[in-house]
Amino acid sequence: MKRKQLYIGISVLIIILIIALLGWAIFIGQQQQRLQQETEDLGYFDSTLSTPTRDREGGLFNGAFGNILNNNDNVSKSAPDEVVVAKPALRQLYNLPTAGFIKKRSNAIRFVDKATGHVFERDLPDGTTTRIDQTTVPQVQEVLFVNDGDGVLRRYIGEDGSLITIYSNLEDTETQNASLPTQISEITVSPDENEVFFSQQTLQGSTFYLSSPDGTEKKEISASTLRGWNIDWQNDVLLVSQKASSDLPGSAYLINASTGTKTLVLQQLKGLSAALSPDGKNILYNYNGDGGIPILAVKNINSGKTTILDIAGFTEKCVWSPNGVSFFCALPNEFPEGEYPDEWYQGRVLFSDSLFEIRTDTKQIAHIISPQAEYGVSLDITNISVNTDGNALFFINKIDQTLWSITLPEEVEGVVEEESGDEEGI
Amino acid sequence: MRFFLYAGLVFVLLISFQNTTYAQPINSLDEIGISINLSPELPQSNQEVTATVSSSNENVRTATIVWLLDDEVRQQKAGDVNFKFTTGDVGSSQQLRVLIKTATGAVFTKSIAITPVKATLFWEGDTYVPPFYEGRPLYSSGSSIRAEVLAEFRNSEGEAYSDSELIYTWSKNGTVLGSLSGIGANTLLTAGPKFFGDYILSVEITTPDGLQRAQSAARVTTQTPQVVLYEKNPLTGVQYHSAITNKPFFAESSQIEVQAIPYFMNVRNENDENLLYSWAINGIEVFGSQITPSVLTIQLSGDADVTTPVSVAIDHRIDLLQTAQSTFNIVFERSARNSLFGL
Repeated sequence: MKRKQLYIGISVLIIILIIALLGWAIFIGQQQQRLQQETEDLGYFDSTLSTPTRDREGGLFNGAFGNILNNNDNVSKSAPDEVVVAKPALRQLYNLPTAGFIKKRSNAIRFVDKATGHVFERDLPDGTTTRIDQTTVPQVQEVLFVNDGDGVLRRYIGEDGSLITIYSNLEDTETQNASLPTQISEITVSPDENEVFFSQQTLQGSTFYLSSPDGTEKKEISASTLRGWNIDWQNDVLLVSQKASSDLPGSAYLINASTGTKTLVLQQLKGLSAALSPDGKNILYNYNGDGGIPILAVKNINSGKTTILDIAGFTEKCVWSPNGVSFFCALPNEFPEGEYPDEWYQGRVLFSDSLFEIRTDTKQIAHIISPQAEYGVSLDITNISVNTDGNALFFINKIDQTLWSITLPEEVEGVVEEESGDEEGI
Repeated sequence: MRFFLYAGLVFVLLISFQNTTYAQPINSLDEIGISINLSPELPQSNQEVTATVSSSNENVRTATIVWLLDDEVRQQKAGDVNFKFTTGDVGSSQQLRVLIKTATGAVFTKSIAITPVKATLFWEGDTYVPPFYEGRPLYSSGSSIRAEVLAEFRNSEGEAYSDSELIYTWSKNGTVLGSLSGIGANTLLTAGPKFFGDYILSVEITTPDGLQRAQSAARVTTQTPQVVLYEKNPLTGVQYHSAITNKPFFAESSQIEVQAIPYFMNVRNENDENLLYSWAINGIEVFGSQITPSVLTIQLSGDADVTTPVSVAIDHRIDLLQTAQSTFNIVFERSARNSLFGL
């Protein structure tokens, strides 16, 4: 009898253990499922991934976002019959310091590795990256592409401290690199990418020139006793503006490349930084408001009408949309105490940005993405550009100078839930 | 046509009073002391201007005042001595006229011509900033100022005056800089304020016939030089985009190079012979390279985790008021040094 009770007791104990094990297995399984779900939704992995891997979809330099290439991946997982919300896709295109890039007309992006000066091209749909040019130019500081990326101007500091600019024709490797004049402090490319406009520092101040990208056919346009100028070229409009400082008024003028005639467009605004719209008809600029925070504004060149947008941001972090009515801006999530833009220019302050689209006619502002809040990655967005369709943005993160993209989703039509009476999703 | 317009206005003014008095003939009465003052005094193009009429002899605040701009009545009100309007483009001309009828029935008029121009003064310090720096070079004590003015004037035929035709008169705090002024003198290189002061730099521009005048001014302020430190990476060079601040700086290997940049000092480059660098690690004086004293190489010996303060002071040998210093803490961690890229 006692033995029978013992057998019964052991059996009960075994059953209890089996049930407990089953329950634990189910719990662990659920945890793993949730972890996998969260990981897929994040899209960003630790940027300390230092070893490029060919195992990832998309090639050698595929950032951790490489698997987010399909529209399906932009769409959050959901059960059937629920409203589907598309999200912008944030992608790291190159995880080493980048000196500059260009979005080519084809669906590719060319960029220059800062350490070596080598030129790479990444195919955006499949993520494959190939080296286009292996001319070594160590420690490139700035890059401009011309002729849809078929030519490149690489700028660096020489051993004697001089500013050096060299041009390379990437389509004709037999052509030797051409050297432009030294001490070019600022340079910009014409809208058709066949000319450059630059200011060269001299003992007397600076001189403005037009030339072809390889430095030939140089023509002097104007001279100045000052050296701190920014230049911008859109459509057939050239804008010259003083470099900014927080407490000092700045001004800007248009210059006629044929006659050298100057026309003032912005006068005596503290902390002024300005950029032209692609059609050359408007100027997006920022000036320092109360408290030294930069405020964005737009001025129409023809009418002179100014629209203060009452948005805190820097012109350098904005790019006009191809529609010419709105622009995309990376707005700092906060402004630590400091003098702007000086401390940002000096690298003493770095920002964490969120991206917005702002309409100049209605002043409406639409949030696009907040990388810090949504993905835990801090981006101080600079060198921002947009593709011709207006649905993809490219930029360099000033914090580590890596190259990134944000792809805006196409509107996705959702399914109506008849029971709940929800509106049709987008 | 203009005569009939003014006559009509005078008639309206006359019959607006019950007492019949003999209306004085219309005339410009400078001898009565009627004047129109503009604010700003030298309006630029497309600028809002406030015109104020005053008289030394008559109480215009009790008078009926009519303002006309290019023969169009813009404002008619009793005692309203102020009138706001916007100037036209550069080269355009506007006629501003005021009609005043006093309580005694006397009518007076005064008119002025307004030809808006445009002028802006640009200035910066003639001081050092690193290559590719996006900001403006600021003035520090002992340095110089670079300035120039951009002015837009048009003659009666609408043709623009060139810089070489206009007359420029430069002033510091109201004192004319005679030797730096003159025809075509639209640029200036001059000493900045003494010590840590400031001054008003202004320029007045006039046409050769003296009929058009513009003015622009700026307060020139003194900035204390700054030394900002950056890591000098062996692969990518000086990390100008991200300065070493007062937060602890984590070294990724046992050896790093630190580049000191003397912003806004009166030098041509960071290793200028007029600069004296004083480096210290943990309070002990150390030296940078003889050729590049602005760069300090820090090599850690041993495997222990180390946090140590590093400081630098920069002094200008000639401009003694130009000094700057900075201190930061550098952290060497064993785990970082044992990484793939550690030494």
